[in-house]
Amino acid sequence: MKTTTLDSKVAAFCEGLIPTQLTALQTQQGQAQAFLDSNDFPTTRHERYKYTRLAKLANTEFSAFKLSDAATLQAYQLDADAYTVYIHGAQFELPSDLPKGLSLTLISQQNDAMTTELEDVFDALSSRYCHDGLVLHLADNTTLDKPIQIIQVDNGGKFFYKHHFSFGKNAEAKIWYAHFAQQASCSFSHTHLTIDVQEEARIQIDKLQAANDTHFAFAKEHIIQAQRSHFTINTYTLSGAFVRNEVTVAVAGQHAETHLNGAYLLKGQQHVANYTTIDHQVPNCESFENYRGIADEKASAVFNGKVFVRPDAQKTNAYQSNASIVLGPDASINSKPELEIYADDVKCSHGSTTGQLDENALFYLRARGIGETAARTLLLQAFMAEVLEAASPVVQTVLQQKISQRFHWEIQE
Amino acid sequence: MIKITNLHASINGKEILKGLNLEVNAGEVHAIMGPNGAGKSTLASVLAGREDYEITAGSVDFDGKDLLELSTEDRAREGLFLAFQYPVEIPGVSNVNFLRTALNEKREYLGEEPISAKDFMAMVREKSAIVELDAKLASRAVNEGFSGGEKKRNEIFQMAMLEPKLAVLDETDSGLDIDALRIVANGVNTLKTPNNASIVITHYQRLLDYIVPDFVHVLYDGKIVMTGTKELALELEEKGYDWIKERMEA
Amino acid sequence: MAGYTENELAKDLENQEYKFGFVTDIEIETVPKGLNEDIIRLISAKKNEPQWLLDFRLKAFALWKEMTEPDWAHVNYSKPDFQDITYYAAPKQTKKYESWDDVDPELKATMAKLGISMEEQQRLTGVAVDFVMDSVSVATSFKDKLKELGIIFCSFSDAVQEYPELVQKYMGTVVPVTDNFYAALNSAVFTDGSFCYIPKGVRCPMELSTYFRINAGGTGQFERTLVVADEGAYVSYLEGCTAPQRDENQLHAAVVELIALNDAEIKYSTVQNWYPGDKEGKGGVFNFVTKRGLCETNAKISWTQVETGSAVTWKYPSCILKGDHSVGEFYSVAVTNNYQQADTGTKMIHLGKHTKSTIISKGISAGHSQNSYRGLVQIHKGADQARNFSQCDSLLMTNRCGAHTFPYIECKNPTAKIEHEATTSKIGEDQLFYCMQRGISEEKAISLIVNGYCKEVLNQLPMEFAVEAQKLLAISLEGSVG
Repeated sequence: MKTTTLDSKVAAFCEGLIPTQLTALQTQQGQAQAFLDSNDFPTTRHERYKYTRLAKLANTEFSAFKLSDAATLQAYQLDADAYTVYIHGAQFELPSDLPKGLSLTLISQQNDAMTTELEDVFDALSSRYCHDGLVLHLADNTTLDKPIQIIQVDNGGKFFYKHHFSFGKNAEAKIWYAHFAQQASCSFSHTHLTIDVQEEARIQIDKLQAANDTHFAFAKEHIIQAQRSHFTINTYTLSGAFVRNEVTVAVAGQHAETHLNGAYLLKGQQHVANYTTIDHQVPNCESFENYRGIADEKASAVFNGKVFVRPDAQKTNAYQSNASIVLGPDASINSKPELEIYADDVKCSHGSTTGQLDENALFYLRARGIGETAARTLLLQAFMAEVLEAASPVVQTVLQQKISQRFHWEIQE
Repeated sequence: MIKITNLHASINGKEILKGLNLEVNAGEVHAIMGPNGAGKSTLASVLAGREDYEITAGSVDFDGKDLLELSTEDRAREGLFLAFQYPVEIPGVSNVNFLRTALNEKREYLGEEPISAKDFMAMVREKSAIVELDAKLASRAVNEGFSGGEKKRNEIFQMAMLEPKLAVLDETDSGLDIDALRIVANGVNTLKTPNNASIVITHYQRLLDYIVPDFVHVLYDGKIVMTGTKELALELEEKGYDWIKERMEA
Repeated sequence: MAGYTENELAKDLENQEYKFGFVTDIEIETVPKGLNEDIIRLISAKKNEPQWLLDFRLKAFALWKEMTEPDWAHVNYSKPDFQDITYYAAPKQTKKYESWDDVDPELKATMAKLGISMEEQQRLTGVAVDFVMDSVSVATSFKDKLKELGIIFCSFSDAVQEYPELVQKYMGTVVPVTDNFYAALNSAVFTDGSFCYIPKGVRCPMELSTYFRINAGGTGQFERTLVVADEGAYVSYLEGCTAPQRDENQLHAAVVELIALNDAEIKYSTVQNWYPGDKEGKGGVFNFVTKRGLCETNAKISWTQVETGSAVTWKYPSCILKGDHSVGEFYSVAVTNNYQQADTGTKMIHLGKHTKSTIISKGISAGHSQNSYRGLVQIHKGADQARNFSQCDSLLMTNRCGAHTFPYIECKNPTAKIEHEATTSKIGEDQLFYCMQRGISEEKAISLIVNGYCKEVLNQLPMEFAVEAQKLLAISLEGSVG
């Protein structure tokens, strides 16, 4: 721990960071620096940081980045068969054998100006200190034969990434974004991802956050959906000292369908916040959101889900559900499911439950001779199953292994 | 009582009724049968005045009034009753309150005094007995938590309370077991007088064993293509709707 | 179809007149406009207050000056100019009325127009009424009868004079002066209100009722209500409000504190019908109210509100469930029409073990209005086995209004259970058609369906109030078709 002597915590945080050299971001440097000069980290008085204390971030001493070798990185991959991208510090490794219609490049290779709307300090930090980013494009009418797995392995340092994915008309793909950290490192990572989903494209993204318990991860995803597209993002958070996910989906085309699923399984002193916004801008769309989680020991979880239905977005159906279980005596759950509705011919609902395992179910299992620990495990698995099953089978398998290791859950047959 | 002439109706630009003709006189029971998609429920909805349908041609004379010019509630007040295929639940509104409002609105329309609470309750008791409806259901919210059979019996109970000139029963038999069917049919038969009439819309002949029709019409592709007596229903039951289809396409 | 269309209904709603928009022409004694220490001293002196109360006011004023108006609510309005408000306006004859016969006939007429004729009420309903006009409590009926049971029900000013020890003991304990901007303002300038104390083990045999009315132009109404139910006591308290129709916005910033000691129960019902402004959104009352109750062991506080008035409402009747096994309830219907804005809900703070809370909120938006539910359910660490159930439903009547739900659920206890559900939908077209097929007009069908939709809340109101509330709902939504 170090004590901050500078007036601004942001200024202290930026010490040692090198302003970005990326050509694409140069036009926004003045604006980003000005933003940083006049804004500090938000406090808990800021509505979107009500449950999040950033002092921890300002006071953490991050370890220096250490380069890991290729074999080490490779050990993290989920499936040897998928198209694999490695992100390791400022190093990106792209697959060479790309199928027709798929293009993978880096921001460092592009000259076209790229600007980000600066909503908060982290956007400004990202614009000022971005290391690089993945630019993925899938051409119209292309169906990927295999998933793309993006394996990010952190090993100390503070890194900022800006990725952009675009999916052409009627394209279909599955993307896995798995985030890990080497043991004994203390890293910070900020990922800003913009996704453009064209007409009738069908896209699923599985995000797996399994860094280590000294890791700080900030992720922001901005998705825009065109008509008749089908978009799913599943966010699974296992480890990480401090994780903040902000997913915003702008549903901009009619008859689009959106699925947001999330699972958080926390223990220790973890703090994990999921902020989601589904912005229904046009009529006749459907969205389904389901986040579930457990908080053990001293962990704290935040879910803030907003469904926004604009005046023109008639015939919107939007469903949101959040269920949490408080396991530890010092754990806490904060849930804020919001509906903001400006159109009348809509069906919107949300439900939020916070509690613990069903004692009757537990008793029933024990009466059948199942030990209490096993019974609890069974029930917790059943509780999480709904959202875990939304993932691709390979991701599900990895999730089950990681969860079992982390919570000492035997895999039940 | 009612005379439907060359009725054309469409929904979302798709024509469902394609020149339907039908005349029903007081004291008569007419059955309308037909395969799925023939336009049976559309006919019921159009008569009751559901706004989703557009009337593109034709006329409906209801006891000397132009039915199509009347609002939904005025059609009801004039004595048209639709027994819904899927009765609607209205949470928090008791059956009794609902019916009293309906009855008094009708009386007001006809220039009559509202019914007294005492007379009303006596009427509820009398009419609920006709369909063997538990008196407790009368004080529950409209159709809320009712079983399928209870909902249909409640429709006939409402019909008994409102004493319509013409009742249109839209697939009232669907989803009913044999006992409920008997009770519902019995209710309809009890309410029959020389001054009122019924149109019974059904897919199956079964209901017509209990409610014996004076005429049976076959509705196919938006038109009445065949009219007969109750024997026609039996013939249809035996030969199936494909028989009509073949005959029409032949 | 030739029937009554939704657009016509919307038009009728806009044209609907505010029934209570009359001004009572009686002589009013006021203090100069504006707010400063001198004004506060003047108010305090006029009311012949003890030093401790003046100190309380001055302390609140000092704190208020340092505070800023909250802006987190989902409402939009131009902030009142606090120096342009008259903080004290009283019917001139401020001497206490010895008997009902002494009351100014004009005032009696006002009450009659409000439908709360006192003679009538005294004779027929046995509801004891405290009538607060502008700032001063005018008459309290049934005082003597209540006195026999040891129940104190009087104006706040009288309580300060007659029962200073009780007032001093409880005032500001549930809503401290520092609580929020408007509570601090109220604490500095409140002029009157109602006070009620139910002694140990006494079940108040009648509904106690206060009627608030803003009458004078350019005034704010800052009343304070303090209800204390001693151990094992029970009271049901009703509150109604109206204001005349004026172009400028009038400010109403009240504080209500309820204290339910061990095993006590307080039922507090409000039918709020402040002037909502005209159909262009001009004028109307700003209703910025702090209402909170404290429950000791095994106590119960139940808030029921039917909100149909005010241009802007900012109100969160809350329960602090301090004692083990205490219970908090919140039942609310909020109707907004034209350009009304409501941001209302509740806070259930669970501190004690086995505490239980229920929240049922029904929002109905029409016209161009914005209607928000904002609620907090907070389970503290020690609140073992705490339970909450919340149901927040919104009904939209037009496509120009908004319905919003902002629940905050905070849980720090692994044995607590919290369930929250919310739905937003349009009034059911199938339901409307079904009613109309039975001969019921669309307008009446809407009224029937809406009343059914609010049933759970209306059922919580005492009989006489429920009837008034249903009428209000009908007026607010049906319009004047006929």
